[in-house]
Amino acid sequence: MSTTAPQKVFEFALKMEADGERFYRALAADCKDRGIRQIFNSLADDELRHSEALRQLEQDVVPVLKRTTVLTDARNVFADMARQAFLAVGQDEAALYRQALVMETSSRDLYQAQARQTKSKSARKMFLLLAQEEERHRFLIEVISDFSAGPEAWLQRKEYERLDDSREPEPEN
Amino acid sequence: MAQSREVIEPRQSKAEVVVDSPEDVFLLLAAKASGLDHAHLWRVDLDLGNGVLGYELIASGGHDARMVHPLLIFRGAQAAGAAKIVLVHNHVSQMPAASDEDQAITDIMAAFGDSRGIPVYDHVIVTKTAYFSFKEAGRIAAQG
Repeated sequence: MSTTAPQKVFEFALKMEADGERFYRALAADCKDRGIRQIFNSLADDELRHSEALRQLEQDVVPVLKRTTVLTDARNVFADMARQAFLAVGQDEAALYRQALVMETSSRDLYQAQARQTKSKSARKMFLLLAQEEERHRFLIEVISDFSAGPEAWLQRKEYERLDDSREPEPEN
Repeated sequence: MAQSREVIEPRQSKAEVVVDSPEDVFLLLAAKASGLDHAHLWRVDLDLGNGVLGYELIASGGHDARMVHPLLIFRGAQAAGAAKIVLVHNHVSQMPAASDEDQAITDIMAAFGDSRGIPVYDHVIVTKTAYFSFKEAGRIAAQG
């Protein structure tokens, strides 16, 4: 058993990543926009890589995690979206984006908590890296969600408030 | 037949501070950005003549300050009556070079700004002593 985090944490995190992968594959399968479908598949691939890194960590193997390229891959998709009409998104899909945001935020917070608690330097580094990746996912989902909302909805939405400035600093920007 | 060519002069700004170059942006925020030990993101609101209407700290602290909800950026810009904006963030590493992710975020925000009618005029990375301008480097679509 690993000394980097309690076993139940690994089990929970692995389930979370597996659920995330299934969730994004399902979103991709239902998505009509080719570019967005590609982003959802990339997000699913990332969650799979996270699972593999967690399994290595669980076995006390120093994990290797190649950093996500989902943001750079998404650049052209958003440029295309800016030139085209807004995505037509139904209520069901909007609800799924909100669910994705909750998932990514929960994952990020879990990994940050584990990074604070672990005594292993390599595990801390990996948990912080995983938290950063989930943060990138959250950002992407937010942008997709906003593109989908359209300008009128954007002006009317009030649920987004100023970000909390009291968050824990990360070592790198 | 010779065609007449209309020369369109940039509109003059009545603002006290006008951004003619990324150095102006750097000077505007250098004092605030200098010595910070974590990432911050500011939005500078410009009028049509590049006059500075004001600036706002959008995010600071833990999670990557660059990756803020676009609503926070563009809704504030709209409320300020900005015709265009400049995004500014600091590199605590003091290396001003732009990463691939900086580029991706610039492109995504630029696309978002275009779709909302508030273009991103420039994205400037600042350190204590230097800056990097995506516009100057030709890495953002020229706006305004």
